[in-house]
Amino acid sequence: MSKTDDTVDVLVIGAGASGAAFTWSLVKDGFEVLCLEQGGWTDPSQYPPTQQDWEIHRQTDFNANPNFRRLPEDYPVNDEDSPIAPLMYNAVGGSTIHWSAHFPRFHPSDFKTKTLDGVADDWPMSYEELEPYFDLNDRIMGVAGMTGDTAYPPKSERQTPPIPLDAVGQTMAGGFDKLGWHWWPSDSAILTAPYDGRAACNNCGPCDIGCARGAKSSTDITYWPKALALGAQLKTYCRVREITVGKDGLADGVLYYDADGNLQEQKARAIVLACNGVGTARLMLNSRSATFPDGLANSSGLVGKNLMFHPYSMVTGIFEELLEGYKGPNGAAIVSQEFYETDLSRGFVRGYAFQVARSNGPVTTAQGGIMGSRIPWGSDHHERFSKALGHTITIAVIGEDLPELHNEVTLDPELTDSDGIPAPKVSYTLSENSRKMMNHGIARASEVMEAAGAYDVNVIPLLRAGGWHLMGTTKMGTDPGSSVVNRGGQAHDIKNLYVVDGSVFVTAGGVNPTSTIQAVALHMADEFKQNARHMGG
Amino acid sequence: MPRFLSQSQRTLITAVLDCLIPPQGEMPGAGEVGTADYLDGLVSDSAQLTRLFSDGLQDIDIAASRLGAGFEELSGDQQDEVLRGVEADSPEFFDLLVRHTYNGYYSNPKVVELLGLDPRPPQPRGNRVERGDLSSLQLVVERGQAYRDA
Repeated sequence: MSKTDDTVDVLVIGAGASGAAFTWSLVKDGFEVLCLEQGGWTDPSQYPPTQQDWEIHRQTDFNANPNFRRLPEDYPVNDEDSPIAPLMYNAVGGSTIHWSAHFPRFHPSDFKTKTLDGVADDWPMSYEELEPYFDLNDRIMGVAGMTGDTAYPPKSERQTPPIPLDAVGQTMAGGFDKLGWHWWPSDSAILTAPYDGRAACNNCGPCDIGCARGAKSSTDITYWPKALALGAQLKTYCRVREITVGKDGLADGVLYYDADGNLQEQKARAIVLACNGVGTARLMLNSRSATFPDGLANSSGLVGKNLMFHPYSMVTGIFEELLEGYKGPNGAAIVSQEFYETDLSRGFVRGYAFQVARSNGPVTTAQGGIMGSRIPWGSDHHERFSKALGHTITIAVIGEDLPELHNEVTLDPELTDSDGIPAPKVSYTLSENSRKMMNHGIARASEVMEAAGAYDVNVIPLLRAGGWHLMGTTKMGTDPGSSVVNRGGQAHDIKNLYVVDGSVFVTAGGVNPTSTIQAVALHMADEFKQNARHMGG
Repeated sequence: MPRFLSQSQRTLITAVLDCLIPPQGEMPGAGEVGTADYLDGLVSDSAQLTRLFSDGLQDIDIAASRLGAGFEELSGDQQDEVLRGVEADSPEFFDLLVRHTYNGYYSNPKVVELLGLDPRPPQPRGNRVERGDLSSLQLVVERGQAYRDA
């Protein structure tokens, strides 16, 4: 083991959505930041959409599930006790490399579930406080969309016009209109016109296996070039094993394995975790010491607890007409938030959103898409296949599953990554409230599919390969007894340790979290800078 | 160029492929368009797949011989029956066989073209799509605020 570097002021662990935003915000104001990332830089010119066998990569080296992808930089996750498998990508840019860039914000009510509905807890920050950070983040990332959405307070002008509806969006919009339900073109972190030196989307389709044009706003091409130009340091293929603590009870550095597998030490004055809702808890639980026998900054016992996924139900309508949903950004053409806010007459508290997703190319269609129901082999194969290819629309029903202590990330007693670091285990069950919510969503989605003209509807009640959103495992709050970090991301137990990723979420909302994750990270960065100045740092 | 498959295994798997995705109308069977070569390349690169496929093909052979003939000589219904049995008894092998057969068949440019699609990767050309008509959003706007004040 060698000490290769001097002490840095701020060490950020993880170069994904939140780590990139936090780092950029600090270096912009003159702070010294080093980021360690366990993955490397990806090469957009080699992304699967440029290859003839592009669709097969979705099952192999671009699989969203690290247990199937198994690249050297990935760590395994024991997900046997969870009906939802956690998904993530390890690289500069993190999971924004493989996301479909659907970019809604949380709603004002999401920050006040206790006050409004008597469930979970209020956040120690409000929509209004985050609004300028949402706007700032949108400007750096680049967002396509349209102002005027009645499901939100007025938003600032989007950077480019909305992604195209094409036949899929138009057909579903007709269904929503027929029922008098809310819909709106989705906010997407995808450029539909040139912006900030980047090219516009050319509607090739599979955003989830890497955007070779740089039209999709992954943080390797948005925040990182800016942060590096401002002096941020970024070291790739560096996998942190544990955070170390000095005699004074403060965090003083990390032990990490470098690209050659050699154990290194890096000292730092402040340490910031940005490793996602599974990775951050894993690292804190792996950082045990005499001072912190139950894991770092875990006097509340809540590190790893309150894990929240979004349960996804997939409702696929089959249409007579050819909709060619394999063309155009595949994440969400339009959204509906008709059932987002609490209405107790529905039999459950809180709510859900509809994401109207396009469809897939021939290989993924044959394999059943992300819906997991493969086209059967045998004499009726062609008939079944031709009814599916380009003739489907999928509504992804995304529900808010409230925090529960028994949904958690722990350390697996046996499983490790390739450096021998204990791997995480996730345990998860859906609450009765969530089951009722998802059943309601499935029924309403089926109704709107029929209104839009679908002649058949296929339902996956709970998508296993749907653990895109990892939240809640180091809850943010004001009370050290019932939360792990404060609203600045600062650990209650260790004042120079911070968490700035989705782990801090108090509740999960019913929409994709990345926009909110990044706005929170930018908000925390501003608090960090203010505190540092206050302390003369 | 055969690597993993022997000549007799190649004959067998070609017949199996034509059962999984049979020829119909314009569409060729999976056995006709080089899917066996695709599988051969894939299987020979993996010790795990080599073992699974050797055993799996043997299972098919044995199940066919119980019906009194080589698999290729059985009727279509009998071939289906044999494969349903192997699917039930050797699910791991059969799942991978179907998965990789679909991958090979539906990534084959000849097949993609017959489906009416351009047999090219999504980039660099992309696609032309319609921006769409957003005028009915007026109806949504007229219904007023859809979020809860907090």
